[in-house]
Amino acid sequence: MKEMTKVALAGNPNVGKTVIFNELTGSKQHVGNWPGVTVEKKVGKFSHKDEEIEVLDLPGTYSLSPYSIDERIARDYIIEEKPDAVVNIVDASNIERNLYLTLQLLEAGANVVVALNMMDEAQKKGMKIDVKKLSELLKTPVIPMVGIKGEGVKELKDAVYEEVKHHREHRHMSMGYGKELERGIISLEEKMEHCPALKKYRHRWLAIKILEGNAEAIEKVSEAGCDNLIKEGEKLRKQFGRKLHEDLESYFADKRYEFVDDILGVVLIKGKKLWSFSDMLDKVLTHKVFGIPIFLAMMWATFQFTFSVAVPFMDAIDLFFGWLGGAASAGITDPAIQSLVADGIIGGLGSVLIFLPNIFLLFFVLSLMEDSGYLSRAAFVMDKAMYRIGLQGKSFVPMLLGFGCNVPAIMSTRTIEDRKDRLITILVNPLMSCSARLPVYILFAGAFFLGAEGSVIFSMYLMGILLAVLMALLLRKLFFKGKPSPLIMEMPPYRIPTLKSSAIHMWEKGSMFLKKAGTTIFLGVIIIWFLSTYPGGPGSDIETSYVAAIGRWVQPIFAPLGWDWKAAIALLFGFVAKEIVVGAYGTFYGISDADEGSATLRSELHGAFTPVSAYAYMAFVLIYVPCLATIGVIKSETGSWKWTLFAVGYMMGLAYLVAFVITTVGHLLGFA
Amino acid sequence: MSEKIRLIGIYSAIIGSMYILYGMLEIIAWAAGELAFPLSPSPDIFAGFILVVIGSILLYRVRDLLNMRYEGLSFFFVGLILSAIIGIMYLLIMGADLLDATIIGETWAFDSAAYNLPAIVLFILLLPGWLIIKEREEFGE
Repeated sequence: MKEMTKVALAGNPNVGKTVIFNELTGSKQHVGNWPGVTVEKKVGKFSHKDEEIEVLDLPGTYSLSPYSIDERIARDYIIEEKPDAVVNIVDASNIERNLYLTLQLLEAGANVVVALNMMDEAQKKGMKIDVKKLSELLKTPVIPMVGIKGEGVKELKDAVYEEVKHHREHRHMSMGYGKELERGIISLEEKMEHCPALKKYRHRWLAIKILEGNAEAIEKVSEAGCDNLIKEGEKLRKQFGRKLHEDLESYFADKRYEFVDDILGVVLIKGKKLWSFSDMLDKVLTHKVFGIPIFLAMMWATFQFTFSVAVPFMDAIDLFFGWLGGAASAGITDPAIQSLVADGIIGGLGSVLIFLPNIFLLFFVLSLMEDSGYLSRAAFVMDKAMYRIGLQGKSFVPMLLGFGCNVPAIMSTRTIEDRKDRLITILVNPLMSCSARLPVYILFAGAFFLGAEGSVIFSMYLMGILLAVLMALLLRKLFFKGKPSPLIMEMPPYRIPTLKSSAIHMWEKGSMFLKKAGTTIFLGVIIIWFLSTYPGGPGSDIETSYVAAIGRWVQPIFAPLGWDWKAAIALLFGFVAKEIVVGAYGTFYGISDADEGSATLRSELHGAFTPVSAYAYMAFVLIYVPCLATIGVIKSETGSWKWTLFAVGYMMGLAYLVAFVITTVGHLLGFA
Repeated sequence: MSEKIRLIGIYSAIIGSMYILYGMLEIIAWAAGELAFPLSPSPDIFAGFILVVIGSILLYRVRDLLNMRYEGLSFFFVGLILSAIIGIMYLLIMGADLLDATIIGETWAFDSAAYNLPAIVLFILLLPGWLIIKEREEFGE
């Protein structure tokens, strides 16, 4: 009995694959799972002329070098199962990105029929594609389609029928990679002739994969018992890598894109409406030279705005708490309760809540950037820079989330498949400055760096990013040797963010701070109040309190950095939540007694810090142990106490080292 | 539209050069502590760097614009957007200070260094560029 003809549908995500699958198969389809995974497997059938054809809808994939489970399924099916034909669905309006997969399919020796879908969208963009020429250049049938309207479905069935009837592997195009590399490919192909187990793979494709250093291809060769091929491939990879000054995987990818560009230069007739506004923005915002400076400019503007525009709101809250503290002092007669309410609750909590406008404004701006589509571009730009120095690709998205809160940021690393990559990202994520550190920066920058507050705060965030990159690099070299996986991400379209949606996002994230203020911080400041008021009782000298005793015990560690016991104890309580550092100072200096509120707290700080020691203190707060919640999530996500303790340990050490360097260099340069 | 693109090129070159000039002056003012120059450049290294970035973007593809090639418009638009972000940010800071002075009962005075007067003036000078966006159907979606 003749085996049923098998056709696979392959393409990038969101190219209209399911629509075409439904058009081809009608209602005759079966939905199941791929073996061993929960990825949906859809199979259907259709009859055309004298042929009954089984159609399989493969998961969306950007390339045949898989980086996710979906992509691995698609790749394995095409390479191992060898369907009679592969219908490669290409989004005509995004032809450049889509043709990359087409080239890989052809390179792998698949019998490809290109379904050029969404032709209407391409026309709307002013694009004209010479389909006949494209077919000639790719040496494969190309069928223009508008899948959603059913246009081109009959022609596609005809082309598939022709392809499966007359297997045309022999006429497939091969793109060249340059003379020398071609010699390497041919030498590997020749060696493969002596490995019968590798016969089922297209030799040229396998040779390229070996040169790219593709782990799975190398495993296949090893399983086939052809270790000499692996050795030869390794030798050639090193040799060409040195010559080309880049890894071969990137080189091959660049060459494929160059080839795509060459093809498009011939087949794509650029209309005058070709340039969309999104294209224009992307050209500059993801530019190899301007991308990072623009990202830095945006971040600087964010912190400048966050600090400066919040000032009137902060002063209004400050005045309110000053009044409330005064009213509490006047209205409560019991000295212990008066001290608890005025100094402890109002003084401590008020000194933290004063920063509510900053936090809400920060989240508002981050929401604007996210809703506009810019944050994805920022991640893309930073990823390119990080990948170049050997760092993991997908980590920058969780790192950007870390600007809000490290807890969800660390949880978002679940999208990273490779365990080494994921561990690195988890371990460096707390170095990204979360919103809880912002009150500390604002307090100290306002007290010691008048007129340059925004820039000083920005420098903290910049320091966090740089340290995260350096630590990731160090961890990669010391503990997680290997190659990082590159980032492939879908760019959302640019949108003009609406005030309503950004305000909702701001409230969703900012209200977390309010909840924390009512729970953890509230409890923290009451404990600090108790420890700083007793055993002497209200009105007694703080120097005789429990907190002073604990502080003096800890302080010698920080003596080389020029910090007093109050600074040491604030850091100790900041271990629970970083905002408590400010709350502790609010309680120590009993700001509710003073009408000037935070102005008094700032002037009190001048007695305890110099600009250099204040900057070192800010840096320490940035780097040292993340809050308890972050430690908890590091433990749950790594599943290891070893890595959790390592994270705590290295961050303590790094914080001390950086603060010490700032203090020493600052003094050497003659700063106070 | 083609002739207009050439004019945009000249306009972009002039304003871009001024951005770079003032950006450099702000960096020099930061290093020197103070600098007497029209519009009082703000002694802020980061602000100066941002102005240099905006100026470089505006200048980068001026040649394309002068040769009436649409690609250059991308850089002009992003320069325009960044200029607006920075200019509006300083105007908002000025407004916030004014509000703050009212709340705490102090008198408010314009501080050209704190509000980065060059950034505001250059943003205003670049405002006519936004009129081009109105004609975006000629080159965009």
